[in-house]
Amino acid sequence: MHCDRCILEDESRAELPLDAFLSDFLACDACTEAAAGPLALRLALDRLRQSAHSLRRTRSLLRQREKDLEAALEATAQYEARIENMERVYKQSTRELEPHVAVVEKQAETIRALSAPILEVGEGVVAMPIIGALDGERAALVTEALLARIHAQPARWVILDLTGLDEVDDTTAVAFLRVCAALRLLGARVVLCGLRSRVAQELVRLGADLSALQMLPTLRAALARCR
Amino acid sequence: MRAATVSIVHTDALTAGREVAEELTFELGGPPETVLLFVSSQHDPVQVLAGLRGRLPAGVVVAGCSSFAEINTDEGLTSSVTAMGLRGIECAAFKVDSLLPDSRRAGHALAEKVRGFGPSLLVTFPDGIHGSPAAYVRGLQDVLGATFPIVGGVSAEHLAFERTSQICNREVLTGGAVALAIRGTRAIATAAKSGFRPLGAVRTVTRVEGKNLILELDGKPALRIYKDFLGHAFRDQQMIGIEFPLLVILDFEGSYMDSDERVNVVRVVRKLDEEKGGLLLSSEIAVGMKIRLTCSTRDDLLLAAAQAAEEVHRKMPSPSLALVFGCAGRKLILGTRYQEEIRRAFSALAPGVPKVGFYTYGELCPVRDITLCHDETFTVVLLGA
Repeated sequence: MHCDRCILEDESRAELPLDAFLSDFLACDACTEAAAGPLALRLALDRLRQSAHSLRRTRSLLRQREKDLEAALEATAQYEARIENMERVYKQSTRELEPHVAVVEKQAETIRALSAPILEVGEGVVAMPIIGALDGERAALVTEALLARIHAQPARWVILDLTGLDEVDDTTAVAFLRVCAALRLLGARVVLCGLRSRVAQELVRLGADLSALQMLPTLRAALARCR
Repeated sequence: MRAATVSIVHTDALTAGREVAEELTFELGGPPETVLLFVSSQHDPVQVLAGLRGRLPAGVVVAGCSSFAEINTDEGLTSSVTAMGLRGIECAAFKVDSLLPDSRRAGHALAEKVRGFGPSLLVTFPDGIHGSPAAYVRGLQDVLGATFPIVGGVSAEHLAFERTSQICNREVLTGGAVALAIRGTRAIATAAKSGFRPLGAVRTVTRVEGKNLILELDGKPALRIYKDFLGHAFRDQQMIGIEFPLLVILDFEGSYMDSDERVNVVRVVRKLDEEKGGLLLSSEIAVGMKIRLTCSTRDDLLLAAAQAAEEVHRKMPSPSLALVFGCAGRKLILGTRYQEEIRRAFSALAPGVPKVGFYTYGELCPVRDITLCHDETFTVVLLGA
């Protein structure tokens, strides 16, 4: 195809800005004259075409970067407003959830109290049923509660009812025996009752020295012993 | 199949359209057979289309829409004409002129036209200002089946919420919907993530006006609850509803829930209705639905975008192309960091995959095989060979 006036031969186009010229040139993608021309011309035109595409994209990118810069300036103002809003939202959300947190904390406190109840079962006799697993944290809680109670209000006998105790491990067995020793130092005698066979086997396996403790099969027997 | 994406930023719409056509032809080594076209709302789409079509053969299929920002293979752009050219893939564009008065019926009508083509995937761009994209999608599903793969984005503009455009072959519509139907067995993988976290208590919608104006939550004025959270003096009312959207627990037609949890979708609060004391959502809401307020940090959003891309990459490590639809709201929240969102997501995908997409007024993506209309997500769709 030969156009009426080839843009490469049109002298008036010499005055055109480069962008406009290249834009027209890129529209010449079906030029049969050029395709049939010498190799050097074809290669030169091909490179010119590639350069024109590259220049077009670079110019487009430059325009985009100018837009990005404008957007960055606008965004700065928005950031500050957003921070203000976020602070308000978190404050209100916390306020809304505070009553729920308080309830959970109260429940946790109740559970803690129930996990180490001390019952006065006779004159100078207190009992503590231990139910469930005795882990390190609970052993510490039991120790603290018992020592505080005996320190504040001395007792002659402390019955530890282990009927509901599921299991005991090395750490808690040691902690448990320390409680008994501490109670004896405070002048109380310790009676263990309701020991399950599994817990008894575990205490034996651990080589715990139980000689200073009185062991009775049931709570009723322990109460009878302490009268 | 061959695909290439180009973007042109130019002050003149006609020139931008023409240059996009020339660049696509150059990249593909010949004119594209199909063009997915996303036009910044700063441009006149009629002019862009004229420029594009003027430099392409008559039979080229064109489908697209106006956008808030555009996404190409490398980055996001804010005032561009961005297009993906395709060769070697059977496509046809369909349209429905208006989503009003009944968007579901409009979806139904478009699906009836599409059905004859025998598509395996529908990429659609409905209007979201005058019609309801969610109802439109349900209309499509009425005909094509609940689990028919439908993806796409709701046409957007520069947050004026006045007028969006849909482009179908030689026409530019307003208030309608266009769909690019793709034929042939083709694997697709999709993922959509938002990164918004629920805040405060779960609330029940107790009064609604029309389809999407919440008047009461737990029997109290909805706007008051919202303002109690966010304060009563906003600098920018529109921005606040985008930054702090609602999480809606879906429970309408169809089984959009599994044994573990219900499907939650994020819904932008499009307007605070001071007169009625309500919150106007971007989509339908019904009495009895549960909602929560949400918020997000920029890091949450960036992470969600990366997770969406990672998820979809695990499903399809070597795709032929990627379609990306990010919510306009995310771009607003991220500010200049929106480029980071795109970079992080793209770094999780296989290198060299041609990508195209835009920032939308809503994203259409399947959740457990059923396409839903989302807000505030970063959605990635991979198309296999």
